[in-house]
Formats: sequence, C-alpha cells, structure tokens
Amino acid sequence: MTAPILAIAGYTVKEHVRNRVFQLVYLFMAVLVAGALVVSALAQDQRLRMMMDAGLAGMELIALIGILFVTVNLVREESESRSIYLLLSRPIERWQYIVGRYLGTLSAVGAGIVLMTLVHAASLLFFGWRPDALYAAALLCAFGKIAVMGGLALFLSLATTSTPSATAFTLFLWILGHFSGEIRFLVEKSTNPFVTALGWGVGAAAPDFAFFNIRDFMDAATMPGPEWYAWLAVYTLGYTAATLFLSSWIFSQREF
Amino acid sequence: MRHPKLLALGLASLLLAAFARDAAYRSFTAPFPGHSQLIFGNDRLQDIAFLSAGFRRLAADAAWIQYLQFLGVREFGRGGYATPEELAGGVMYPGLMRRTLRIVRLDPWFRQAYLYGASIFAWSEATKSPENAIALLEEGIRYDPDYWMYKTFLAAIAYRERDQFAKMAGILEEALRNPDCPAMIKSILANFYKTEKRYADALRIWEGLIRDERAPEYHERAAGEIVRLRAALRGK
Repeated sequence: MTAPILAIAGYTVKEHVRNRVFQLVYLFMAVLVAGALVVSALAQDQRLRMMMDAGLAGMELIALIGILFVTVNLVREESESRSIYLLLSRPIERWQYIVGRYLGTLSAVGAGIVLMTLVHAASLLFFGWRPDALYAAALLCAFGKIAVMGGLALFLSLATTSTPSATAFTLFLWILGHFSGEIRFLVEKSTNPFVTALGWGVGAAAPDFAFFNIRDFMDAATMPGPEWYAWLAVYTLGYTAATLFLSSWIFSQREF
Repeated sequence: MRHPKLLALGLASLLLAAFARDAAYRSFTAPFPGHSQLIFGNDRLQDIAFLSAGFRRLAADAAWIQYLQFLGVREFGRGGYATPEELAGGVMYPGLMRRTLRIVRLDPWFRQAYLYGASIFAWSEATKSPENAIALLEEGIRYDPDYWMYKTFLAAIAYRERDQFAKMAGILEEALRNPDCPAMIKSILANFYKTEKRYADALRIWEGLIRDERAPEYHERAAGEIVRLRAALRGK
C-alpha cells in the first residue's frame, strides 16, 4: 500500500527541486536573512530578538509561498498535460496518488525549511544566540502550519475551477485562521443557537492558526505543557488528514 | 457518488481536529490582550497586516524600531513621526504613552519596551510623568509577575518621588547588574552621581557604557563624559 505512495512522493520531490519557482523562493530567503541583518541593527540592543522574529516569520512566509504556488497546480498541471492518464492506468488508487503528491511536496518544502533554518541559526549564533528548545518548537509549529496549508491548498485546487480562485480562497483561509480567537469570542457571546452552531462550524472548518504561532509567546511567563503540544499534534494530523480524505474523494469523482 | 467512505473519513477527521482544538484551548490559551485592547495609531494598516499574517511579535518589533526612531528625533517636528495635532501641543514627545502601549499590547512580554518606556517617563526631564511609568510597569507585572526588574524600577521611582535619592541609587545599582537593564538607566544614574559630585561612581558607569557593544548610541557621549569626569577627579 505504501510503495506507490512513496514512489509518487519521490518523483514529486525531484520535480519540485528542479522547479525554478522553488529555487527562486529559497534564493529570496537568503535575501530576507540579509535584510533582517540590516534592519535588526536599528533595534538597538534587541538585535537578536529582531533577527529571530524576522527570520522565523520569513521562513514561514517563504514556505507558505512555496507550498501554495506549487500545490494549487499540483494535480491540474498533470491533468492538462494528460500525463495523469499514464499514472492512473497503473494499479494505483487515486487516494494513493493524492497522498503521494502531497507528501512529496511537503518533503520538498520541509527540506527547504531545514536549509533556511541552518542559515538562520548560523546568523543567530554569530550574534551570540544560545540555542534553546523553544526555537525548535517554533519551527515545528511553523512546519505544522505549512502542512495544514498544503492540505488545504490541495483540497481547494481540486474543489475550485481555477488556479487564481484556489489561491485566493487559500489565502483567505490563511488570514481567517489568524482570527480564530475573535471567532471563538463571537460564538461564546452569541445567545442565538443557530449563530452559535454556525460559528462553531466555521471555526471547525477553517484552520486555527492561533496554536501554531508559538513564536509570538516564546517569552510568556507561562508556557503550555506537554498536553497542549499533544493536542496540537492531533489537530495538525486530523485537519491535514481531513483535507487529504476530502481531496481524494473529490479526485475519485473525476472522469479521466 | 463514488467512494463515500472517503467523504465520511474526511468529515470524521475534521470533527477529530475540532475536538483536539477545543481540548487544546482548555489546556492552554496564550494570554494576549484582546484585539480590542490594541492601540492603533498612524500605523494601523501596518499592524493589521502583520496580525493578519500571524506575525504579532514581528509587529511589536517593527513598532519598537519606529518608537526608537521617534525618540531619536532631537528636534521635534522633523522626521514626520508626529501628527500636526500632536505637534501643535508643543510637547517634546507627543503621544509617547500611546506609542509605548502600542508595542506592549502587541507583545506583552517585550520587557525592554516596558523598562525603556518607564525610564523615559520617570527620569527624563522632557516627559516627567512618573504616573505613566508606574502604569506601564504595573501592566508589565500583570503579564510577567516574576520578572523582578519591574518591581525594582517601581521601587526606584517611589524613592525618587520621595526625594530619597540615595535609596533610589542603591536600587538602580542592583538593576544595572542585570543584562536587561536599558543603557538609558545607566546614563541617568551616572548623571545623578555627577550631580551629587560622586565622580568616581559616575566614571565607573560611563566606562562600562563605552565598552557595551549593545549601546553604541551612548559611546560618543560616554567618551566626552569620561574626559570631563577624569578632569574633575584630578581637580579634586
């Protein structure tokens, strides 16, 4: 069962590594790190903090751009070039194809994040930073966010009729995900059961990115315990699995 | 409809994710001030853009840089950092409390912003509003109750208000040993020592500041003060 998934994931990684857009995106990251070095000098004795924040945010943004622009075209390009017929004529389940393509894309972006982390950490170490576990936690959370966004982008690329609409909806959900606290507040304050149910439904369907922004409260007086991280992992896996199942279901309805 | 199992599994996974999300919120919620408590000034679009992208701490960093640039404008009216209404009031640093709150409401654990802001309000002749300094430090203590520097600063401000300068100096000397202590506090204490003709103590602080790589903006002034203080000590 896993062999076809891994084979598809493998060729997807190779495809992305050769993709010029991908390469340009990571070159842009180097520019971003250099820019962070310059701008952080304006922050007086908060230079290290500025470099940390700009670097983490930059990496997340670059990874988001990478996974978004690659994933919305992931299946569409192969459908339009008809090369998908070759794949589907093999004894491969459609869900295996979807999962393989997704995992390959995520692996390529993950490798990019590792590369960016090395550059970022090296620049931080140069300015006297001492590595700590929260940095790793912030990176893992950023990766979790990217994993969720990748699944969402794939689902929307199959559910919508065009690349621009898939991109626009995905970006809209990215922004909505950062206001999950406000959605919860409105749901709690509402006395209308219909509005409460609707709000809960929207909150459940839209991604909740408040969790993943651990870098925003890295210096907080109280930090979450292991239970919170466990629930975050369940949320990430559950939401990503939901997008992949729904993507596979939509893909299985298509006639080729 | 083909493969209804995939649809069912998809919806079930979404429900699991929703359950995990609620469980995580019950376990821990980051204690940020609500968005209604954020202070949006002239840069509201900037702050909202950062918040929409989930870069709250980076928003505070950008606000911090703008804050330092605002304070660094020596002649008020230049640099475009104050609105015409603010400038008409004839105040050296118009809207400083609002600008400081903007940063700390975005990142309530930005210690340097609290300490720096409180220092200016408590000890700068241009602002002279200890009540703002106290309000700022009390807000810092609410979010970071175990950070002793806030309480140290409160004690120092209290002694200053009661003209108990020796006790104030003692408290600030203790604060100076902490790496988080803003360079501004060191210069304030050094100036106090100079006023009290405690030239050796003042010299010690300026010599420390000139060696401090994190406070290059004080190096030129420190060099001048060191020359003057050494001359004063020789004259003694």
